[in-house]
Amino acid sequence: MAGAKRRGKGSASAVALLLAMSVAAAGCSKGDGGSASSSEPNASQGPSAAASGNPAEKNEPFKITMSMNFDGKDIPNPNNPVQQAIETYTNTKLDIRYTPGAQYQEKLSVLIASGDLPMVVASYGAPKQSYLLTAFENGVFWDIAPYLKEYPNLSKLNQAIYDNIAYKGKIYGLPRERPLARNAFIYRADWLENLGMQEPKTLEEFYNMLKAFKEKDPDKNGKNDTYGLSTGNVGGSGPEPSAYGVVLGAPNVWEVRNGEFIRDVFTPEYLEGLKFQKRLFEEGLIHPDFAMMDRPKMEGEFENGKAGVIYNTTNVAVSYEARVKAHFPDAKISFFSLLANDKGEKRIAGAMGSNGILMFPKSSVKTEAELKRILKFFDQLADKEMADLLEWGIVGKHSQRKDGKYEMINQEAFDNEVAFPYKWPLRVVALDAIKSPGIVNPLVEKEIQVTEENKKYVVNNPTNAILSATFTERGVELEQIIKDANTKFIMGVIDEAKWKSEMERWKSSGGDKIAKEYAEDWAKGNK
Amino acid sequence: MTYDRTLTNRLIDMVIYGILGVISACALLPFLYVFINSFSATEEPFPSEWTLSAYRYIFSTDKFLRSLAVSVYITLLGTALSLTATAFMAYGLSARSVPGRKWVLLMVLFTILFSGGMIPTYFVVRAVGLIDTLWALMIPGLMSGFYLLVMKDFFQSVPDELKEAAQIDGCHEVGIFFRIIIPLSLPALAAFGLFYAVGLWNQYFSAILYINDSTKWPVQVLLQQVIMQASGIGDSTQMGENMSFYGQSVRMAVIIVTTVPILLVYPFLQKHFAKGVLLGSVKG
Repeated sequence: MAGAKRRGKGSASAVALLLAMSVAAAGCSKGDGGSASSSEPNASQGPSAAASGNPAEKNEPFKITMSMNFDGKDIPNPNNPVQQAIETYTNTKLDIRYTPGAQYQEKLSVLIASGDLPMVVASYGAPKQSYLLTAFENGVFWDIAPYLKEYPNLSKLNQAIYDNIAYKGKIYGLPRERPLARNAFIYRADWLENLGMQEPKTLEEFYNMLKAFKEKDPDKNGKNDTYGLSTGNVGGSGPEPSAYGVVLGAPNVWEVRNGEFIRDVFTPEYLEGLKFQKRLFEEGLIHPDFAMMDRPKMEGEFENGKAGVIYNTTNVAVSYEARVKAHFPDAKISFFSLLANDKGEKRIAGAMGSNGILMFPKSSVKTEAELKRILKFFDQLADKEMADLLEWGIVGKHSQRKDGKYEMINQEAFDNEVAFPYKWPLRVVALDAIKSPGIVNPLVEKEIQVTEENKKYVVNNPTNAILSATFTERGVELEQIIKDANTKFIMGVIDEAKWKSEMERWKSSGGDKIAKEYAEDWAKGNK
Repeated sequence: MTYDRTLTNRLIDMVIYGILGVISACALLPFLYVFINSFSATEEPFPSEWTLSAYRYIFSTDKFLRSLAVSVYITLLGTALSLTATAFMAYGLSARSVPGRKWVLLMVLFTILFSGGMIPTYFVVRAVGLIDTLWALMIPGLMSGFYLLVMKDFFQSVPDELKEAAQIDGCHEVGIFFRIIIPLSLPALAAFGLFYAVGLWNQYFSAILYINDSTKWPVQVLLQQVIMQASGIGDSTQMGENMSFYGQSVRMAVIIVTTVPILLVYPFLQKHFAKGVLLGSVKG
């Protein structure tokens, strides 16, 4: 405050001080960042370190610091009973920093660049982002592949899921398991009953159902005010043409034929799937403004009884049921995932099978013993006791026991206090099969059943585990060409010839290069 | 008021009022739309069902009041600090006799044109030990180079004779600053104070970057979280059965909740504001 005593001198010296401070700061950070990004060699992981790690683990709780994405509403106080139960069971002390999911990626890139990393870091969102790959290359994170077999629960995880997240044959983190294929057509079962129809088994029957939903007054209100499928912009929140294409026999985005990579858009089945959507549009079975609908609008159409079907993941059927019932108390909701094509084949596109990975930076997890201790923690989270905690919450607070079976009594509190802060970000292995049985909404049971059955018909995307530099760099921009052309084709703005020429444009603007890079990476055996 | 009430003049007035009316409607209607729809139970341009559930949903998180307090705190304290720092430095730079003034001005100009970027700034903030403190939201953006230069010009527009007169009367530099310059510059201070306050209030990404402790999140971060959950992004699609969505109306309600408090500041600064912005243009 005394800075203004003499005209200007004070402020000038204040500037000088600030400048000096920032120079000093830059100097410090250079030291810190440098040591982290140069990735300490594994020198410290000798046998002595491993041995010294063990005795401490038995008595004192092991402190684990983590940085996690958070998609819930309230971040819990660290002393809450759920966290305490986890800490007691695993003999750890958790220090979790949460960041809102939408910004997590941006923050993570800063954290990695600064070397300021806790012991467990989640990667979230698109799996192969360039800053992560650079970090993998530079050895910032531990390769956990050699250790996995020592952990009974972690090693039980489907190998395909590990394969999908592998980078050059190494596994830089634990996948957070999600169903491989869980997209479903969620529909108004009461409408179907009103019409005396059966749940469709084939694509053609599905079409008939949508047609009847539009034309035969399924809600019996005497007005022609309903239509078939509520869908958003292609490639956004609605079924992608590939959803129908895959049913009809197209690959899931990419296919390997004799070592060459073929993009789905160049297969006749894909175009057939697109034509199917065009037919839905022309006959008014989807919303005429579908291309401009965002997610809330699209869901509103289904919720308000305008549309009879919505395409989403199996796990949201329950919440759709509640939302529809708020407007139509007699409504019934059901869903199905699989549709057969005219050859009688059932096919469904598979996803990554995980939602981000949990990585362990070498700068903070210094020894092999520490790494093993952390892996043990995540392994323990899939023990039955922890599974019950993460799936049913605390008895008396979130759930109750009835005839030896669990029943949820406060779902909202459970979501807020257990699912979002602990279950979704932390658990690696899906716990459905491990937890104790309970009394649940039939839709939840169906969800487990359907995702299990889907496994048999999953069409995998072979590029999940391999890399194309061009795709990493320009993938989003190139995909837009395809998405735009698809939307225009469905709406009849462009014809088939023009659509094909757009696909050629995609090819020449980088698509060709992507296919080549995938093929090269594939040939190296990075499968 | 002498006023020629001929027909043409009245017609012209009507046209002018008409145009102004349309313009103000353009500004007001979207806001009204947002306000009305925040009470809507359905997804329609004009709601047929009214509900407070969006607000109930927003206020249902027990962190809300806390983060609101954080936002108010950093806005008030941050604005005060920013204005003080900017005014001090601007006053110093406004005196032509200060040695090295040109170089300092050049350095300030440099920061307007080039910034270190996100990661170097993060390094600095971390090295200074501001991570996880509310200072991280106030100190890194303490002074805006642009406001500093404008304020410096403003101070320069105060006639030197005034300062000399005060000096002759025995006033010290500090006295001149507080008793002459500051009272004369209230309009400018009010205007820049408002700019700073709006900036601090709307601060969002720096909080994400620098603050790990969720109890120190400002209201913008919390509300973003609330919206995300309401619109079912990320793992929130894993919603349980009792969870209901109010996508649209929650988004609208959030806009109301975040804009109204800072909007309430405007009327109090309005008179200074108009003057502060005008003054630059009337000086000879």
